[in-house]
Amino acid sequence: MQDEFERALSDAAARFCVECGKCTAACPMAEMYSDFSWDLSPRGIVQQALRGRDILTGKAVWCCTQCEACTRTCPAGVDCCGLVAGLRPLARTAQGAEAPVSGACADCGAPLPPKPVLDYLRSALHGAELRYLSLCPACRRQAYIRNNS
Amino acid sequence: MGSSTCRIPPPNPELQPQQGPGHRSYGRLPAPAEVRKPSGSLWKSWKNKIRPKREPRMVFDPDRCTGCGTCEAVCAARDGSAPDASRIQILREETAGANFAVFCQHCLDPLCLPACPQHAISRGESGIVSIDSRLCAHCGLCIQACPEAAPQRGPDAKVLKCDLCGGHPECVEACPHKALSFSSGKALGWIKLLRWPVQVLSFLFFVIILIGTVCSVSVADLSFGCPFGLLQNIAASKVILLATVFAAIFLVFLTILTGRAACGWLCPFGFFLDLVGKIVPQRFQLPRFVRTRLAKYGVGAAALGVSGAVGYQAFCTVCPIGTICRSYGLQSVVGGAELAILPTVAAMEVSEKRSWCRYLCPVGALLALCAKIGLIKIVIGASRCKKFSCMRCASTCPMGIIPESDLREGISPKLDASECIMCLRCVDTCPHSAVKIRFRWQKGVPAERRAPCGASNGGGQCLR
Repeated sequence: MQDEFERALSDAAARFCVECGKCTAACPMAEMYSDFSWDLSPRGIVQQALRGRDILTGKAVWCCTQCEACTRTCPAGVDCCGLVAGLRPLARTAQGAEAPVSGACADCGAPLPPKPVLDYLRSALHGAELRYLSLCPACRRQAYIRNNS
Repeated sequence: MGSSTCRIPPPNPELQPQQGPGHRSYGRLPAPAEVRKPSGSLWKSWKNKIRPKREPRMVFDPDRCTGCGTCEAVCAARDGSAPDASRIQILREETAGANFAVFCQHCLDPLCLPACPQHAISRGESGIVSIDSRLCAHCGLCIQACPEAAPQRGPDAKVLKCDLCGGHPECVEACPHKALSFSSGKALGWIKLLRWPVQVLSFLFFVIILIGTVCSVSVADLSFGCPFGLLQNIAASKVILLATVFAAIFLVFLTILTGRAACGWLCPFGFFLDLVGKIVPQRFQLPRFVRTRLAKYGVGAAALGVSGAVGYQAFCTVCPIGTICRSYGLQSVVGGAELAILPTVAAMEVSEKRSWCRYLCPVGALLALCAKIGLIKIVIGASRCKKFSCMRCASTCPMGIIPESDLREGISPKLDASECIMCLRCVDTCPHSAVKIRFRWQKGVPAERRAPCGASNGGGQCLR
């Protein structure tokens, strides 16, 4: 477990972080969550991971949309997005059934975005209950075509 | 990777700080005007009312598409990328030989717009929904929000979306088989020019010219009566007079033949409500216990019961349809007092159009029962309908029976003939001629091919 944690840190070159905060400035999560804070921000996640704080149990790693805006903008070359992606399997084992993953595409089984992201999406879309949100984009196209031709 | 270009746009005085969940207010673009106000002279605004201007859109004809991929190649050439990363995607079904193009439909009410956390998506002047590349973080939430996942990830995982090439789509010009076309569609537009005069004439006929009421009229040898009034009469007097039955059966036959056209085209109070609904904005919501379409059957049954108990037609004394006819011109003090029912009922228009007809009218309830076994129905064709991107029929339907939720899911809704008043507004406004009048036995809407998992459990929780 600790080895995997260290490997995720080194794969993402997290130790090069200079805490400039550009990643947080670029991160769309700031507009998505009302409780966005240092704990959820890319800089916060990198720093908490480096300082050995426990970030595998909260929802910290599950709010990310994996857009790589932070990675693209980082001047030190830290792959913040990759760090979150690397920490997610560890958080999944640490949290077990409590992990806020929203499951898989109803048709093909591809993973859907985690629960906080889908919850944001639902609240943004007029609060409408949209059934197609349980399909991955590729299957959604197929379903759309099935119903329209 | 590693490029440290500043992605924050220069401060723009137009971008007013707004209250929101996030910290950053600089990136918020001004909200796009939902519906463009017709500008210019009165004549222009009237012209826009009669024949609303529609921005041209790309229309795909699956029967003509051969799946050659020219559109993809032309589109990808704009970005200098491979065709698999183009903004229009042809999905090829090799066994069935059917192809389908997925591209942005530039919805009237786009869902990607509220979903974008960066507020990078906007709906421009000519209705083109575009992504501002300066603001986009490529998070892909627009792909997740779109019913057909039209935005596409490009070669470097950046989100691309059709922007109609600024109004001159190259794929349309390049398509060798004319499967893609660029048109604003063609709505009929003349049915309303027919319906309004008919409504005015029937209003004048029943309310002003005719001595008597719509409830019971004799012109020469022909007599015409309200079927619900007849039922109350029978309940009150326990006597069936054949002459009144023959008078009332006309409306029943008319409804079986043409649906509830009497409600949409002839009812004088319906015309009054249409006028009120044109003036009054629909802004409030009625309490939930009123907003059930079964209520009108309850009102009808209660009216029959009370009629039987008190010995006269109980509902007819307050019926707005009869009141608007017999109270005209201050015939009596009682008539003037009766008139108070009209503004009371018409005030319900502040919640939904034709609220009275939807939820409470017992005459409409009786005609709804007749329309259930009627001969014609309205069908929204599956392949022509543009679904979530258009939804003009849903917003124009005065009875609110075209569910936006189904259109949002990309499903052609099945319309309830008993709730449809056959005003044909949907047929009139559909720019893609997808809404048709069909006989009862003709082919209807195809059933939804596969109910997505999660319909029952709120979505997102299946296949854990």
